[in-house]
Amino acid sequence: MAKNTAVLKQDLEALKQDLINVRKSLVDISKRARKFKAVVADKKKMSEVKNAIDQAYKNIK
Amino acid sequence: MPESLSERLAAIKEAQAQKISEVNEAHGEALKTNEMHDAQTEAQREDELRTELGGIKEGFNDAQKDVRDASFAVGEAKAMLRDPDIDPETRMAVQALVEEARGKFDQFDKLKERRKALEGEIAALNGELSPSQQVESLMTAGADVRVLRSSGQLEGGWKIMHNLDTKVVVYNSEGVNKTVPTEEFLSWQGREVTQEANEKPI
Repeated sequence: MAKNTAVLKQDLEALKQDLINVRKSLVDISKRARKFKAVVADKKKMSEVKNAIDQAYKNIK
Repeated sequence: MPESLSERLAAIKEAQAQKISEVNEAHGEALKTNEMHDAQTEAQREDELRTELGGIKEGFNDAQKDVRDASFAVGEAKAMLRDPDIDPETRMAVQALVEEARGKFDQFDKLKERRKALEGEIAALNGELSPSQQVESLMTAGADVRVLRSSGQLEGGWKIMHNLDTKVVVYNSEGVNKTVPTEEFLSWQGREVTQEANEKPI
């Protein structure tokens, strides 16, 4: 069977590069997902603090 | 005593024949050296392929961890969408991220298929698989295969439908199928494609 190693090498190189790109994207997605979680948690905390302050203000009044 | 003209001519002819013989011998040696060099280069290339394949396997193991990590992080982000207090802007951004992640997971699955196909082809190159096993390996991986058209052009983008004992049934995106002898089919696979299936009407 006439096989061409040069073609297979090219295919392997392309696969390697595509794998690197997908891995980069996956790492980036993980980072962004965790950032969203942190931002939402912060917003929630801020909202709770604001509510507590509003409540305290009302109580003082 | 001076030689006759015919004697000198005969001497010249003999010298010419001797030279031609020497040149042919040198040429034969050079060809042999070239063939040995080609065989060495081919063996080196095969070694390189096996080494590269080993490196890629590690890359895939690491990528599998990245997929798990991203899947977990995106799952947590997605769970936040259940919270009705999330502002619309954040909600849309998280939904977009979930979609993007889904696309990347699909891409990774396709890369795994390509890797399988390449493993099969490299194993075949090393004579580790029988012709039928080589076809089976390509079919299982859903690999794009090459088919020699009647126009004489080698066309890429075909798929294997059936792996019969000594024949292979292939089809293209237009629904055209062909039955070809296994050995002949395999001989097309390592060659450069001259035309893609979608470049001309079938």
